[in-house]
Amino acid sequence: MKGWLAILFCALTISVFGQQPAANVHFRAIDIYVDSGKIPLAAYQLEFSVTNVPTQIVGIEGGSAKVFHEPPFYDPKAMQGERVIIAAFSTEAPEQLPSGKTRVATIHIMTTGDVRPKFELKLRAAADTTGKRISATAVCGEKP
Amino acid sequence: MHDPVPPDSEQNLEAPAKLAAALKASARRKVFVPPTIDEAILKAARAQLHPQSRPNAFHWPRWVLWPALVGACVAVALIAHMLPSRQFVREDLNRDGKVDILDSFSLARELKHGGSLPAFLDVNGDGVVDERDVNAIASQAVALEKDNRP
Repeated sequence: MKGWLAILFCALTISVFGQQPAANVHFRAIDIYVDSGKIPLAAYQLEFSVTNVPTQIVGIEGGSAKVFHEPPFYDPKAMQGERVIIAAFSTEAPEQLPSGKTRVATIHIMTTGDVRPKFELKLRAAADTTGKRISATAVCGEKP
Repeated sequence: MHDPVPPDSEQNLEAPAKLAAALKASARRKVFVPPTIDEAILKAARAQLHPQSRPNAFHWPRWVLWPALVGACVAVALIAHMLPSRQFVREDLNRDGKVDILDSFSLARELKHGGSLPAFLDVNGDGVVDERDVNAIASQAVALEKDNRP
């Protein structure tokens, strides 16, 4: 009886710990840009998701503009998922705020497989210094 | 007492011969009116003079009108009461119907300007309106459960 148990234990150990690491795992950094034209960007909120491959969001960092250098607000539950809502604002004066196309964040993801991931980005809100909604666009691109 | 008649007035009653001949000729001509047109005109005249005699007309009894009016008013009031009124959650500071980063931004600007802020802005319920309330609204704005998808 003990022999059978030992064999069963060995088999389980091999099957659990003997697995090879998943092949074709890629870590990618996706830059998120918001273009507010000539209007200084004071606040934004957008939704990012990967639509075609198994993905895990593994990190979120701030953007290039000084006022958006800190990581944006996001739900910690988005980690390990493939969709996240990020948002940030600044109460600085308009001269301190970025305008035009600005990198506001970078999202780090882990994908499995060789298929190139497709991203979906929806800008939910963008505002000027008075809190008034402004017309803006959001784009994203993978860092080379 | 009465006006004297001119001596030649009797002679003026005679119509000119040409006119008399024309009148005699016109009396002889008869205008033909088709019976259908005649009947239609007669029917229209009857309908105009006696409208209540139309056989298909339906009339509500007078005693029904007031209860019906009161019932309609009650129904309208009930429907208006049952319809959902436009209410905003406390965190929706700019009252645009959704909680997003602009609400958090709004409170942050108010805090930066200083002054006393109303107690309802104490979103996290710690008794003071401060940066933590700003963060609480922002956290709600980006929460995945609530999902701000329009």
